[in-house]
Amino acid sequence: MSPGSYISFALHLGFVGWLVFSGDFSRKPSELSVADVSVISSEVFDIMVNNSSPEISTAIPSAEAIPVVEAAVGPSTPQVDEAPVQVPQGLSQISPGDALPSRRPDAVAPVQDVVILPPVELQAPRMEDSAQQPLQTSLPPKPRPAQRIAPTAIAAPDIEMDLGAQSREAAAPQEAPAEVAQAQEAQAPEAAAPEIVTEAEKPSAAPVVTANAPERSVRPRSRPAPPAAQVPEPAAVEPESSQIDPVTAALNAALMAGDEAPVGPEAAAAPLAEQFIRGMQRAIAECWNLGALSSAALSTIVVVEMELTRDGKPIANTIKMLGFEGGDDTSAERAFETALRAIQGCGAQGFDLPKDQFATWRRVELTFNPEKMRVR
Amino acid sequence: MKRLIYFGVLAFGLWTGAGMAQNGPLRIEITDGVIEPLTFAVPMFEAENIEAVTIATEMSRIVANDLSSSGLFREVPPSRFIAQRSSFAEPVRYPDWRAINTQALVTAAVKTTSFGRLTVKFRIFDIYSGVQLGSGMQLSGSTKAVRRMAHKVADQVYARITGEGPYFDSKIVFVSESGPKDQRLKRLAIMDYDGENLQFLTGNENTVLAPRVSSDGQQVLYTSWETGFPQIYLLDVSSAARKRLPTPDNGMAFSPRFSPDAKRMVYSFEQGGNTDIYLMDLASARSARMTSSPSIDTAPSFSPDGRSIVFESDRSGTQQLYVMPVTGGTPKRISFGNGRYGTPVWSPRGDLIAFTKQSNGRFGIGVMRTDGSEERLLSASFLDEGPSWSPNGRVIMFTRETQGPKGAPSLYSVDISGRNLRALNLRSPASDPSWGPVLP
Repeated sequence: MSPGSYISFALHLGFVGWLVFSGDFSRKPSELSVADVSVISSEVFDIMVNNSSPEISTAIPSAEAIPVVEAAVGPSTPQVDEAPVQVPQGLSQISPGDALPSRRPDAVAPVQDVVILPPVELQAPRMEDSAQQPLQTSLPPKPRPAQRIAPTAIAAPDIEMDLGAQSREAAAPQEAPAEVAQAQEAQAPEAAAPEIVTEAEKPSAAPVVTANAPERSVRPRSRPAPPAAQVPEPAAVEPESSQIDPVTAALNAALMAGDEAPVGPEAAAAPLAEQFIRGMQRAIAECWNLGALSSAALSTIVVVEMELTRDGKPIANTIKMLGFEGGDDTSAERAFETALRAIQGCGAQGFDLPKDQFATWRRVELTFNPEKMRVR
Repeated sequence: MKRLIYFGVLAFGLWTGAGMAQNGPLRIEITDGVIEPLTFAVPMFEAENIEAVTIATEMSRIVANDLSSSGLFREVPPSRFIAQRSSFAEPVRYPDWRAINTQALVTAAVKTTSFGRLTVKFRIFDIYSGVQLGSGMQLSGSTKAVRRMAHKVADQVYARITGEGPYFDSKIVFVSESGPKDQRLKRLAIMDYDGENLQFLTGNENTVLAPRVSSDGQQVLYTSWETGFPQIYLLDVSSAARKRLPTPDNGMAFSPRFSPDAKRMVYSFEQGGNTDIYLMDLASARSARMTSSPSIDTAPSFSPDGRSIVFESDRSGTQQLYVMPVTGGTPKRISFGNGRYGTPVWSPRGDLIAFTKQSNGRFGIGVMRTDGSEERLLSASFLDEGPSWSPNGRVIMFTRETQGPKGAPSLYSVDISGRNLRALNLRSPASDPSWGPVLP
């Protein structure tokens, strides 16, 4: 073996020994530094992007406690008839020997930190889309669970209506009457006495269509003044009327030409037949459910305006409240929501209206007057 | 020239009129509708962690039961659901819910956190309109307060949709009864509005009657035979400590009721066969006489503004209702119907007075305006009496006693419309309910 081999052997031996006894093999591994990563919701991300912080309130939502108003005339010193009875001064404490209840109430666990979340965008399906298109459910609609469990055959299931049935009856919530009767039976057994006046006065589920003409309706004062459609009566200008007819006709013809409705002036100006007005009243009334309204909202008349498509369907983003009467803003909002549900619930398939008079019913102003329905 | 101008104006008027006739809306008035419970669905709350699964199930059931119990809502059973929600953040498929005739949808998620805390967040959707109603909300509380938090959720849903104030998260103090009818033992108890979490406030050694909760729910006035004579006691709910209020010993004191600020009390005091109404300042314990007539004046109740009281009196020969200012004055009779009226209670909203009416051999609970107009009877049975208002003034709870040797009292509630008459499911006989405020 050459001296070089000895030297190489010794150097390798020394290097290996250094590694084993004093090198990195005996050292603890260095700790990894890990950054916390969390998934945030899209709402939080939106807030971060918009550089706004969510509104967080630690207040408990309003509990609508009993309103307590101090009397203006100091009730603490009532001027009553007399004070003939001599009463002891100070409260008398019950003697310690008195029996106390064996069970004391536990402290009620408080609900704290009620927070109002910022508005959340859910990319929900647009209402107008579903109002003008057949409903697309996520599961095949047949068989319906309700049909399997219903004791009797259901005349017009919702899903059939939703898939394009044209009959107006199909637009009503069908099972409601039967289930209401069931609930009443379960909840109020022997109380159905003749003396329960309000139960006896309960309005029928089948609405009665009134023959009230629109002109005679009660209207909120806050509603904008309607345009005077029939103001210029031809009879009021007997001598000249015949002379200006050609001018008026020409002006009207020009106006018609610029209008969206491709109907003749005669059809546009003709009043809608009573049967169509009644049909629309009936259809909306069937879905105008006042059963979950507050007493205040039941005393509120709301006027709602909407536009219809040519096939008589409400255009969702045109439905708005023009005004209200008889309540505050909150009750008006609740009453409007109820009206909205009625319009959209029973108008989804389109109201039965003559297509050649589209210009007459393209815009509809509905006055929802619960006078006959309210809780007195 | 004038003729030409006249023609011009006339032509313009007709032109505008024609335009208006074409563009003016069709006007229709809707005066008839339907009165039905609003259909709603509460899919099982999403549990955001494994510890919250049981709680989520329980809370969703409580919320659904609360809403259904109001009579204003009807639940769409989960077996009919088409949409199977998997995540709280998932968009709502409105067509799926419309297809099963659901009008309102409540979605929620529950998560437990460290230190026994629980968070529930929820949203309300109007299915027909295809919109979320208001903002999403969330509540946080102890895991021991699951029922309360569920009641709070239901309260928010109820208030948002109906416009009424909440009332589910509230307590009721009442008289719990046991034993045979002729030896009935009575003691004060407190429970949730739906009968859960029953706890006793007094022992059953002494007969107690007519508890009345203060507007903050912290105190209870009641009548007890503890001294062998009916006297009025004040009880602190949290500690169950009680003390007798200093009414004279030479007569019977009963039928107490707090003023809205709970600083005063009106009550009846009988002496020598004459019963009148007195007003006591609870801080100074001074009493002042409010009525002075040779008749039985009793069952006083404050108006919510504290300025008036309503009470029953037979000063006219029959038992009728009267209203008078707290500052004194001549009582004004407000009831004029056939029969006898008693136990009037002013609504917390101030618009109605509930009462018990006896006529034609039956008892019923009724309401009338504060001037006595628009009287309506809501119930009728062998014996209905002692109405008490829910905190929002929408529901009345009362005692109904059945006839016969085995007859027993129980608690009933009814909507002020007269609908949704229902019995509270309790294990033992109960009477004299007093509905407390919505808890903070």
